Amino acid sequence: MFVQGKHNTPDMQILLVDDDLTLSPLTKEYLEAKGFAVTLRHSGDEGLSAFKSGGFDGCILDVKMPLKDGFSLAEDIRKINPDMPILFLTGAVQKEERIRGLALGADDYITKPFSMEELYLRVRNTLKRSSNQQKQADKSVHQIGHYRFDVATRELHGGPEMIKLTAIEAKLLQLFCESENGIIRRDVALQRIWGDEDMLKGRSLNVYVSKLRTFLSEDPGIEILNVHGEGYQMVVR
Amino acid sequence: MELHSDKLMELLGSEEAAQRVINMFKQHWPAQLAELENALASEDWETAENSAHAMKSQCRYLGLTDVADLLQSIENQPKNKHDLSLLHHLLT
Repeated sequence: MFVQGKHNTPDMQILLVDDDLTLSPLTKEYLEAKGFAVTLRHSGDEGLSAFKSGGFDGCILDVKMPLKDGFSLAEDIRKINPDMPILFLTGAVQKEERIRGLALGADDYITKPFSMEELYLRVRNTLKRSSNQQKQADKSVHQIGHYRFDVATRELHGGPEMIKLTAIEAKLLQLFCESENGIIRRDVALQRIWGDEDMLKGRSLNVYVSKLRTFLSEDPGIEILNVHGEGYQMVVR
Repeated sequence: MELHSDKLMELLGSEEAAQRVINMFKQHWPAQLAELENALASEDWETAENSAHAMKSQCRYLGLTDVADLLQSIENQPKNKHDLSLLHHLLT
């Protein structure tokens, strides 16, 4: 129905959650014609379940949905991935909603009725900003005790020899470095590293944490603790 | 009531998409309206609010401002007495 756009972004996966059965399929079609891969769900619970299956670059959430609304869904998504770009669809006279969404860290809003072109541009810009921020984060260097971890090169300096981390080891260490108080929840780590919460991957996570403990063992001030029922905490004294 | 596709075309960017929405709207409207009326009659305020909200959104796309405003007031104050005759005009 919609003409294929010029600015295709074939690797960008969008989760669209909107209970409007008439218009949301068109929104999906339009964004797909522009090159996004779009997963459409019609309720907050279905949206969360889809998000947990992983692999999304951004979310478009309708604010007003029965049972689990867009804000509640966004809170759950942010627990899994605090940096996930989220764009809210909202009604015209819902200022309180705007404020609540901004407090939740909404990346953008679009008011219904919106033009498809405007939605596309806002999604594209939001993802571009997010991607730039990620690139910035990937360039960063973290000081961990007397170790220095270069995210871009995945090099860990400070031990007897430089250690070149694997992609998964580096992602895990980056998560520890960027998390508040060095705490990472198990489900969040699985989601961020592998894109799902599979039990087998959970066992792999234990193995990778053990490897990081070994890599960082030259500095007795660094510990990665098991936090019962939660996940892990990296402590640097 | 005659539905015009101008507003929709502007929003959706395609005549075909606009026509498709109008057809879906005409197809779904009777059931949606019945659901709203039943919810109001049985004082199921939550369903009434959700139905009014869903219909309102579609009316805004179609440029039906008066109808959308009425649905907005139902959504905000479902317990109030509302004249639904305007909604029935959409079926004619």
